[in-house]
Amino acid sequence: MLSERVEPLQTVMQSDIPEDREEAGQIARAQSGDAAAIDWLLARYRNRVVRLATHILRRPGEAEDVAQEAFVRAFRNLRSFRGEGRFYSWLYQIVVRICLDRRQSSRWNAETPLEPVSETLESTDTALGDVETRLLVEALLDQLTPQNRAMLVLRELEGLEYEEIARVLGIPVGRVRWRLHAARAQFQEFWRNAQQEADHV
Amino acid sequence: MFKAPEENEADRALRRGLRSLPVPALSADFDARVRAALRRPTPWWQRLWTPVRPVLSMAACSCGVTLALLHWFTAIPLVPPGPSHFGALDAVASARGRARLEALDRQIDGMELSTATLRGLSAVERPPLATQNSAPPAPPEPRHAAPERRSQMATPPTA
Repeated sequence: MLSERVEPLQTVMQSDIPEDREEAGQIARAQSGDAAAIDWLLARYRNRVVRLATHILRRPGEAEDVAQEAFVRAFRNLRSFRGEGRFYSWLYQIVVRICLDRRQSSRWNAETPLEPVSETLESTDTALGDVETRLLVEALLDQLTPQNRAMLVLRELEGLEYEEIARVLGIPVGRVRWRLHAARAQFQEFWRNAQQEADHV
Repeated sequence: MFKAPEENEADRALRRGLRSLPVPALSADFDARVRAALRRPTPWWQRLWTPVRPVLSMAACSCGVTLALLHWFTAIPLVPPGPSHFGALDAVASARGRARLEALDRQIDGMELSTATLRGLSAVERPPLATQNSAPPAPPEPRHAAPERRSQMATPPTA
């Protein structure tokens, strides 16, 4: 199995500059059709892409298909990537677009069965053991729109800057800030209510 | 006792909760499937679609603008509007009335001329009452008819 612990991307990228240079080299080789470079990029980003797709779609069964489609689309159009931004933000842009397209398609509600994420998957990090917090987070994600979910995941999990999130989603930075603030405020309310209930019990 | 949590605590919990969310394990042949999909030739319409898409969207935009301009130009009347149905009826009615007035005027003129002689009175023709509404009245005799008739009466027959 390819499942592995996924670290936030920002910490890796900021701390290790040679890795950035290596990535740029691999991208250049992949642009010329080097299979080894494509494998390198796949190995680096596949888990992140699947995680992002899982949280946006809230349907883990679809996430792998989306990830595969995103990689195929990205590698086929790799020549259009000119290195102006970061590769991951370009890749995430493709992932988010595919996810939102799927959510908007008429087949989504008709064909895809609802499957709660917690029931179908085993947590990759059981050491935390904070089931309540996880349930609160899932409740929050279920209430957010797919775009806002993408925003939250890109910020809190992938560690993207506001400007990068705005570029990925194609919306103004101000809207990113405002929506993230609203999502956090909503979670705080959940958190407060949950604590209140726990205190009463 | 409920104690309101600090913002940082909730934010940390949110981040912790997001990281603890389960992530599906990828199937072992994920990379192989991606590579196989990359080896498959791209459909011709997909290859064509990428460069053609901006051209098509520009063409669609210009078509829309052209149609809007055409609609706008055709909506402006080039000639002044013609008479309406009621307007046409009014015009017919006024033409009839004008003809009738002219006929009456001519008859009155004829009467003035014929006051000199009683024979001129016979020249006055009254419009028939029955056909007054349907057909225009018969034109009166011309003014020069009376002197001509008078001259005919004044001169004795040569035979």
